[in-house]
Amino acid sequence: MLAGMATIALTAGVLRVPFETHGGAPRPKEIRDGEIANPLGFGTSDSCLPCHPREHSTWMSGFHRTMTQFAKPGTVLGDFDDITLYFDGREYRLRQRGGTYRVELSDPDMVDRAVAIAESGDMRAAQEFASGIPRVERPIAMTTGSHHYQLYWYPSGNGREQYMLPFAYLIEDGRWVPRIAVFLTPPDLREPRKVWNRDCLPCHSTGGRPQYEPGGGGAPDTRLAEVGIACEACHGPAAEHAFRNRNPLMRYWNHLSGVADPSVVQPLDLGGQRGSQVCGQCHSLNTQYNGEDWARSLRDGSVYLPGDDLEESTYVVHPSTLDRSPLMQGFARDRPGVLDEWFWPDGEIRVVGREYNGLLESPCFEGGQFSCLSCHSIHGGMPEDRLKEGMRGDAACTQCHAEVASDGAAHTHHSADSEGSRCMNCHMPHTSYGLLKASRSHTVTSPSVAAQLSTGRPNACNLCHLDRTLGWAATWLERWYGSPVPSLGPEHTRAAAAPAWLLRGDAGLRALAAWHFSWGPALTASGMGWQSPLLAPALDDPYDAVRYIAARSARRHGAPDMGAYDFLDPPQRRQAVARRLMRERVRTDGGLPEGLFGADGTLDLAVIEQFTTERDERPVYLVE
Amino acid sequence: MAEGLDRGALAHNHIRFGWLMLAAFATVGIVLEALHAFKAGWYLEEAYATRRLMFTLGHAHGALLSIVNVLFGVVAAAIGGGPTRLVLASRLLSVATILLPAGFFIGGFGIRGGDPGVGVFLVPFGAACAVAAFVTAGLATKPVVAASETAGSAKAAVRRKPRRRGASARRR
Repeated sequence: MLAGMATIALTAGVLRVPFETHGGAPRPKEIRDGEIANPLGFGTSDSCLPCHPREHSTWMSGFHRTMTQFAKPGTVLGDFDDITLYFDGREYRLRQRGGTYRVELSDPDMVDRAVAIAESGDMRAAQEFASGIPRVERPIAMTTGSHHYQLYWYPSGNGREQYMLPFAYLIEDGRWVPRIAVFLTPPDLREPRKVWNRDCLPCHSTGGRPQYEPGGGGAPDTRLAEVGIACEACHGPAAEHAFRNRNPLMRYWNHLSGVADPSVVQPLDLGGQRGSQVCGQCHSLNTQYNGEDWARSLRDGSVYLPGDDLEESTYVVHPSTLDRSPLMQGFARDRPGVLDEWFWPDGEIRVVGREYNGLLESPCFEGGQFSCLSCHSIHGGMPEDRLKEGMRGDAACTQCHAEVASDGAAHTHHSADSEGSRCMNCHMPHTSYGLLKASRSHTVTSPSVAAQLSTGRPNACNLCHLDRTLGWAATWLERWYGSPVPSLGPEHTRAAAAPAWLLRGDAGLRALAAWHFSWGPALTASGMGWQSPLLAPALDDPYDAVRYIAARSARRHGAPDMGAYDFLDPPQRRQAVARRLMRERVRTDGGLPEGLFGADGTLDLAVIEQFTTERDERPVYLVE
Repeated sequence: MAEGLDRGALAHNHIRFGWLMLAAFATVGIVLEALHAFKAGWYLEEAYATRRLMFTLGHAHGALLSIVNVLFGVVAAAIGGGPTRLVLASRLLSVATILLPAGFFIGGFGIRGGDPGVGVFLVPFGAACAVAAFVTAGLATKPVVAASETAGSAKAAVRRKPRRRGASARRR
């Protein structure tokens, strides 16, 4: 458990969790836009609007802007209409009054102290202390997220510090769930309290300065230029740029001469590497090089500014380069196995939101021209993924690999209009996990059974052909592309690969497999009707997130026996539903997956039992 | 240049020009309404707010200056003073009526972010002409109206003797 806490501590930016309490009523201070008294020259997005209305408009419509917002009607998506929630044995009452949102809860700092006493082993003292914890009411000050789920923050009473409400509001489902349930976290994990100023501010605000005292303590007088990820997060501090360009002659000189204005950063002009680093400052798993840098970041925020070399100030974590960061090296030493949770064994990142790590591993990136901005634009495309116009399909790849485009089906060996001929389905399969779903890997690779065997990362063939074995994939890869067939055991040739991942893999792999069981292209390739019974064991998975994804997939298959199953149901109820579903006789519109079903169309329970027994139980915490 | 000024012709020209321009800008107004009706993206989307503003300003200034032309024609006969000023005001007003809306409309094309296209540089010249026309017309206006230059009537040619200030007040 301590190891798990340490993991979160580092990745979330918490090296030291204070247990200070504050007598009397808290004196919350609001965090406001434009309060960064800094020498860096941040303005706000409002100053960009007059000259850049299109860019401002596209930014306004996206999810970067709404990553952090002040809580008010229109930004709060959760239900605060006199709701009572329970987490970890404690009650939380959510209220909405006159456009303000409030939570009544047990004094959070005293709760932390009670936990600390309990962890010291003195349960009696802990219980005695806990019984005297008063109820307090705090305003909801800020929100995080506006797409998949939303999180909420309230003032701790310590300076401008903000604590996280331990619940997430699932937007699509319209329901509250424990925050820890939406991340892929070991079931026995107890997270340290999340503190916005330390854990989120660098990437979820613009120009943020936590302003903790040296060492990360004290009452932080946190300031920031703007909440959310605003213009200057990518274009650098732009107050001077805005001031200079109030002069119309200056603007028209820039327009007509075509000379780039040196007073602001244009990521497109930075080249592949530096341009990608602008995204990578947040879309990577990173930390500082040493403790001194870490302490400075808790005071002054990020040193990196767009256009800089990211790696001068920031260590982008990779298992093969730990020696570059004594800070990370020490952490990995104290927490053995942590890198295995974040990376596949070959160094490919396995969590979403860290796409820059994936990009660095891509052969395409080595050319120097390929970058995040080759396919994405924050000012174009759909807000979901900000893919540029036309980049949702094969054009993303054929803009460079024109020769493959001309080969067409001869290259893919699939029908030209089928999903098997879509570049990304084979070269960027959904092998990253996050946000309760699988996402495309940003390490551009080719399908390989050998790589699968050495890393455990599922191969693209079997993520689509859910009903086929690894041996089957190896055979076709050899026939079509000359890839040597690796040495395969009987478990790789008798039973379909994807169901085996679902039953036997680690928690991350089980989540990926469960998601693919309702992925459209996979259902086209593998047929429908047989997936529900195989998803049944995952309905009682130890991990909340795996159960959630499995239930969603099973429901997409109709699964009539699921009834009112909920992924947060108590184990007995979950097991009852899983048992019912497992005994279901399948009716398919095609064949059945190899080695898993009997002749009567019911699951071969002995095989399922064996796979479940072999399940990889090592704790997995995928840091999104 | 204005010794033999034909005030009637000048008035007629402005009235005709004003009505024709008003017709033109009414048509432009219909076009702009149609762009709203058919939700033309290149006009209505937030990214094109500058274009929309330029076209709206072009339409408004054009229509207003058209009306000013009609009014100028109507009162041209009543504007006293030297014909030089009247002709100057006429020409300045005509130039302004062209340059101001043209600058806005041309500026509406080729927008660069929040800045109009370079055509907008016509606007300050047009605006200067408009201001100069109004000032000139204002200075040309005298309390004594002489209609002789246009009508040639002997009666109208007789200038009224200026009254002493306060005379009318005393009579009242």
